[in-house]
Amino acid sequence: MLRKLLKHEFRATARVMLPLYLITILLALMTRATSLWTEMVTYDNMMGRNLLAVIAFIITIGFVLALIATFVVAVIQAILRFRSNLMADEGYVMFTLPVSTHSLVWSKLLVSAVWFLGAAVVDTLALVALTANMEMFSSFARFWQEVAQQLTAYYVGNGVALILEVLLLFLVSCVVTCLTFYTPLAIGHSFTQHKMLLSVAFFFAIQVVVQIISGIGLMVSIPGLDTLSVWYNSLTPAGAVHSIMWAGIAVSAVYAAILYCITIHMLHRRLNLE
Amino acid sequence: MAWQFRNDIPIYTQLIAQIQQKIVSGALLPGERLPSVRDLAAEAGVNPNTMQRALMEMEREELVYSQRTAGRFVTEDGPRISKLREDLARNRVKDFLEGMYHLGFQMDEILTFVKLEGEKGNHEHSGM
Amino acid sequence: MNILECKGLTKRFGAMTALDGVSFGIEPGRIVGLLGPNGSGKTTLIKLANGLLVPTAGELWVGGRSPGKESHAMVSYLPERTSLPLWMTVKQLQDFYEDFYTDFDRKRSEEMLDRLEISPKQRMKQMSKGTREKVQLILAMSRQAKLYLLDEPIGGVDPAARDYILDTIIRNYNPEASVIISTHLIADVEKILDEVIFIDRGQILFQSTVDAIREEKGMSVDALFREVYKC
Repeated sequence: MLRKLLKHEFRATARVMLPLYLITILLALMTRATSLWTEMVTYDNMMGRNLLAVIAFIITIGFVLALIATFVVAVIQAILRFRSNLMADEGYVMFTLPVSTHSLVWSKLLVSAVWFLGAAVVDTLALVALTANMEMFSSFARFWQEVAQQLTAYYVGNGVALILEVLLLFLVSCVVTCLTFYTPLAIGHSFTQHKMLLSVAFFFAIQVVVQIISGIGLMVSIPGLDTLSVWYNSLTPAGAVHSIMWAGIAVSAVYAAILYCITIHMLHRRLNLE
Repeated sequence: MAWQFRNDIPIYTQLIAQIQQKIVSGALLPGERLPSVRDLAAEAGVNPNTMQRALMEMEREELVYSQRTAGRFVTEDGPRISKLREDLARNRVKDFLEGMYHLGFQMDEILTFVKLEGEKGNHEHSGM
Repeated sequence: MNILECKGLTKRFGAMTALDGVSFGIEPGRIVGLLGPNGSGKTTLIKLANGLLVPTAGELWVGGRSPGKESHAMVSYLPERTSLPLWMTVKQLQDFYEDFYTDFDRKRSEEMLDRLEISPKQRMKQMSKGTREKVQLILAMSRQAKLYLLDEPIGGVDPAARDYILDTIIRNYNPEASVIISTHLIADVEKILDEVIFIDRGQILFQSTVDAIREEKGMSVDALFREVYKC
């Protein structure tokens, strides 16, 4: 059933995200086009140049905004979907489907993560489209040639591992970002009145608690920290990078798990749709 | 004929009365197949279980009979339908007389009255 | 086995008691009216049966199970408010229902849409409130569920649509399925009900059949309702 939920969730969110991606790519191409055009216009055509400069400026601003928007809209959409699809009227439909609460929450988390990832890919592509020229491609090819020449088992293993670690950290961070909002929304909406106000209050309350806990964690010397630092100093540079990555993934995952459990508990035992 | 219901008596007795009326008046012919319980219920706008109860009661009174697969039929027993017709008439007359007595009429007065109104009515019905 | 069974069912919201030790059962093949004034606990009861609320005390079973994803597959629920996503077209909603409910009868939904002259291409957003309610009811009644929980199904619709809705409920009748209709507009639904449950201030006043009430009291359920809930 998770598969069907994912399908439906993609259908609901693609309406916003795909056009936004398309606009971003188009604006990148337009920015590129106007800059090429500006180069071609001769210097004696002053009015044409000025007009073109204004147009180029507006398009560039639009492009920068679109780049930012891909991420901002992905986050806002993740929050709004949770609120409107689960915590408001549509919740009557969603929570009476023959699916588990876990599936409902995971469908939201996974689809949001895909749109975050999509935003990263689209923004990269847009920047490539903006700056790419033949020289860049050839130097890129040279770069890979060199990589291929110097390729050793050491670099391949660590490189692939690092890419996977970055990807994993990105996904866990996406889940954390979503849950940072889902948890207070789920708590706030379990009350009969002032659902949104309480959601905002719980958002800040959770942030404060997290700050306090991490503050305490920094101040109190954890037993065994000395041996840990000894072990850390003994690592190779690559080993150190990997362990930092894994530590980041682990901390994020634990934080996500706690938020997830609270969210599920609230939806399961304290659901209170208006 | 549209189905109509009063509020102060059970629905199933009203259903029986109205189906009986249809049989007597010939709106339902002897041996005619009745619609399914669901369709009859939908037509009358009543609960299917209530319609079922009414039909069971009529089956008990041998006014309708059911064949396991073919459905439910109006009885083909002519004398039984005649008897029903008389029973219904008898009830009407009883009700009518009761009402007239209530108004302070005596039997002979009532009979004169009925004759007089009947003749008037004949003129109205002669057009039919 | 009863299709719906409640035992000492209680729901409190803070200091407010919405349901107070309610016990009753509904047999299969029944059309039941859940009758009571606004705020009497009707919606709370239906939400509990749908797992949208968790009881404070007591228990309830739907088809022998606690409310959850297995019971949701058996129950067709019509909420009091229109809750279908507004961006979706009727056709997309049919796809959605077909996807999640194995008992969804697409052909039936198409017939009903046709009858009420609702185009499958229409978006919910473009419709009037009344039409949205009709779409939601059509989707709910197009399922071959074991239990239909209809919360105020005739609240806001016009008389013609109301008659069609009642007709649909009768034609949809199935000896293994039960229908619970919560309403305060009793005169309209009385004739299609087997039995009624009177509920007031979170408690059940009585459960009886419509004809038993008429036989014993010599009055309609509607008249009795007015008498019982006289202010």
